[in-house]
Amino acid sequence: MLGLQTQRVLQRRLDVAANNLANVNTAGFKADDLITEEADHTGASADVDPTDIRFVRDIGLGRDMSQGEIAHTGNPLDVAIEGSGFFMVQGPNGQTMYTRDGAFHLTGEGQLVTADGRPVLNSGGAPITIESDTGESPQIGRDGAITVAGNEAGRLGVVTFAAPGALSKVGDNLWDAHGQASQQFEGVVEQGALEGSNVRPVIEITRLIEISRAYQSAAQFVANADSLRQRAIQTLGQA
Amino acid sequence: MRALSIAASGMQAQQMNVDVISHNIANMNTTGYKRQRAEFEDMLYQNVERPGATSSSNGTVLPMGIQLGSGVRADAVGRITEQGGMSQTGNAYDLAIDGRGYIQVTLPSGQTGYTRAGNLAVNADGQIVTADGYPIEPAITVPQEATAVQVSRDGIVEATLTGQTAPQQLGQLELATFVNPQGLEAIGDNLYLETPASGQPNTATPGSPGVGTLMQGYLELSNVNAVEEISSLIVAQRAYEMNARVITAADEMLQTTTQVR
Repeated sequence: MLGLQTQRVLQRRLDVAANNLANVNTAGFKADDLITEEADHTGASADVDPTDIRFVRDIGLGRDMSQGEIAHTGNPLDVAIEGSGFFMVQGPNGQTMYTRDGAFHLTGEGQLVTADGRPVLNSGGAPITIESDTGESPQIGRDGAITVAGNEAGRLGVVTFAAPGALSKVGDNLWDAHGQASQQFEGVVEQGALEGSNVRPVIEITRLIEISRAYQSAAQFVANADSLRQRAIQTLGQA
Repeated sequence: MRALSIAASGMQAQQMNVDVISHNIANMNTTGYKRQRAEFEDMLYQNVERPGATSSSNGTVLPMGIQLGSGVRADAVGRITEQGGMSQTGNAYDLAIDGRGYIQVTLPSGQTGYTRAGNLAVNADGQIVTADGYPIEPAITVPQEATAVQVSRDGIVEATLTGQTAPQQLGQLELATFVNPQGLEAIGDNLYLETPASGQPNTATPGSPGVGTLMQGYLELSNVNAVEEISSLIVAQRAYEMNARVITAADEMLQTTTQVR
């Protein structure tokens, strides 16, 4: 039973490592890591089985929130956050979602949107429209202020959270804060650059080897326990 | 075991990335070509334990949960409309656009196409046409007795005729600009079509505010940067290999499972 539990946790670990590696090229992606703990397995009655059996179980996902590398792209609508902030984006039901992926685009009406077409919000929580009649590409200052031909067109909404670990990922590079209060981000954003994924391939591949070896030894353990039991039945049956 | 399908999504995404990169490299010498870029995003998460869920009757909450991702998918292939370099050709009908704007082209279907490729020519009727023979808008016809054609920075086309000292004005070229040029639909042959994403075209004479100017005797090169593409290719290839490695690991684990007696 302990062997099976170990195998179950290892499979889940593999799923997490696989998702990290699949997103090695996803802008603004943050790597996940499964956190496990030792848990007590107590028998039905402590007097009957006083031996202390411990097994492993997963208790949570640790998220590596470190900065991904910033790569220059030359695209004026690419914005990277240096530090712990998140861009505010309007979610499917009008609620505010958060993203680290700053590959923005314009709609035909000049609204600033993500690659999925979700409006990017300004510091006041309203969508941003860039009046581009003059045709100049917008300038985004290091504080997120957008100017087009000298006219301010709003400021990118960038916020930080006291407990970023409590944000959950919802896919499409979006994060849900579940109502956690946010503060205005005081760091720097950079125009013409994108933050890459912070997945470190060496670590993930090493982890992969570790997982498959551990899985094999757990299977071996199960097989050993089985043959032990078999032998016990045989020996005791003859007696 | 979801690791298999997660890794498969990663391999598929990188395959598409290589497709986009190879298209860029293939068009390295295409006049007016704008390089493309594949953008990716993570897929749905399965909440095994939602972060912030209540973990006891005292109201304590989980500081983090367990969320299992399901891989990656491509969300857009964007076009980077950065200016390409200029190459001098000396040909009077080569026009490079310095700045924003597209030359308008009348397509055989009657639709208006847009192009950055200014390698124009004159057809048998004296009309100025693109390399594919499609007339440009507004239509300009060069008389047969013209010995030289000049195009000014703001698009005025003049011809010097035999036996005349003063050049004759033939017309003025116009450029179309879009709010979101990335939203144009590429149809091949260096041509783009208007879409709801690009917005309505704004036509103006070259050199108007926000519109580029024309340079006669030059062509705009593609904005593909070979070094950048090759390094992206290496990254894509390695990422593909790493995802394949995950499939091997998952396979080994499944094999171990089936061998348990």
